[in-house]
Amino acid sequence: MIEVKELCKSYGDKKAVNSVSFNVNKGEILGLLGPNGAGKSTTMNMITGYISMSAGSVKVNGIDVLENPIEAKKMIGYLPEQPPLYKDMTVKEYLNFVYELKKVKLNVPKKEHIDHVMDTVSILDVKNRKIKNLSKGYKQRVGFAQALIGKPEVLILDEPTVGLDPNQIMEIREVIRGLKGEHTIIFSTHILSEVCAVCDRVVIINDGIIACEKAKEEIDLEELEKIFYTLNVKGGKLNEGDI
Amino acid sequence: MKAIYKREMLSYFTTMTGYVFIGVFMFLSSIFFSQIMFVNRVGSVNGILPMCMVILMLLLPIITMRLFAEEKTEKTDQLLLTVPVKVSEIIMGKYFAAFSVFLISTMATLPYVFVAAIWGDIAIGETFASYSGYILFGALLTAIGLFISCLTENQVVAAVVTYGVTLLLFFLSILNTGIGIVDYIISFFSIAEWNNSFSMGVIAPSGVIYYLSFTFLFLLLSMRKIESRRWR
Repeated sequence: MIEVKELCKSYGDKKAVNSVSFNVNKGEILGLLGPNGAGKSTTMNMITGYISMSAGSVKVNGIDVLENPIEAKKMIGYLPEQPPLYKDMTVKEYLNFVYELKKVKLNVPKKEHIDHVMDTVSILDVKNRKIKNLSKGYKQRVGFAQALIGKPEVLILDEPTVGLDPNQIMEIREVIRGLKGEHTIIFSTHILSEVCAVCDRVVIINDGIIACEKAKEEIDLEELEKIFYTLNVKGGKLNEGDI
Repeated sequence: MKAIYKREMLSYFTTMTGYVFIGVFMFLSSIFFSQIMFVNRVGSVNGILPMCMVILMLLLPIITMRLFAEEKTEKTDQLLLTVPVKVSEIIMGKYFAAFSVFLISTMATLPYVFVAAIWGDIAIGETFASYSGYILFGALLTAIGLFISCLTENQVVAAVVTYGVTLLLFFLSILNTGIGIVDYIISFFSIAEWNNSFSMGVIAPSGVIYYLSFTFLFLLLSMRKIESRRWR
């Protein structure tokens, strides 16, 4: 469903992302794990067509994001690191705007779809409140709702649980698990346990390169912790023996 | 484009921006109109529109500065640029919203025409031509402001640079080098100079083409600027 091939992004001499390749199968949840500044957000920004890649390609359902951006973007719902919210709007106004902006065409009426999305992320109780007056957790969820509008086949979620309290984190994880099958999901995090709780497969990214890739069955929390410790705390590189 | 236009309009009128712009514009223009009409006893609106242009140059950046700069600081451009919408639609939606606010402020000057018609003596053709020139002038100014807003993520910088550019282009004709060809080039770029024929009651095709082509140029530059982040 998503084919990322030798993706590179350079800012001057600095290579933020260096030859990253992975595939995500239809209906799968892929976790992109890595310390802050590893290149997770940059990778996601390239997949969604927000920025261009210096080299490499991204294909969503066979459509190249750079060559045919409009068609590719029709299939993608994106929640960036900082939710893109217009704070002077109410939640309902904002989601209506996103619905019109995405030129959504669904079999269900607009109102029903928006209500369903708000229900999915539990924001129905704040639908008439201005976004600027919401707590961080609610803002994050409104951002999530925005990504779900139009029922895109692919969801790209950049640290969707950041800023939420433990209850809300559990809720959002539940939502993501619930979306599995219907959507193909890439979701980034720097919390190890989250990967084990939600993902089918994990790609660990560090310093712009893929450090290792593992399927769910192979994910061992202790082992991941060791890898993460090596990357994060010692700032070192992985040796073959570490994996 | 429609969705973006609607959101921009909503934003102008749910925040104070739209009201402040129109309110201050009406306040200042009415003072100048009263002066021209009742003190100087000039019974036409042609005298007031050049004044309105100066007011416009000081106020329009308030409308245009936020157009893209705000999207960048709030990171909402990440939404606009990752949904299936063409960059041209984004730019045109934003442009027409700012232009509409300008048109509303222009309509607020229509009572002056009625007052002048009652107590003065106005020529309909001349008034129509003056307004055409004024609206074309506003259209160009809006496009310049939008383009500059695309260049920065700081709204204050956007506003100040817009002031600089528009005031320079407006007062360019004052510069006089004495060298024929240089003066000709300077006067070509003077956006005020091209309005003279309109205020004399002539809708000159060259003037219309001048304003429209420069408006189009700045809109095109805005699109290229926003698209540039997607270039390899």
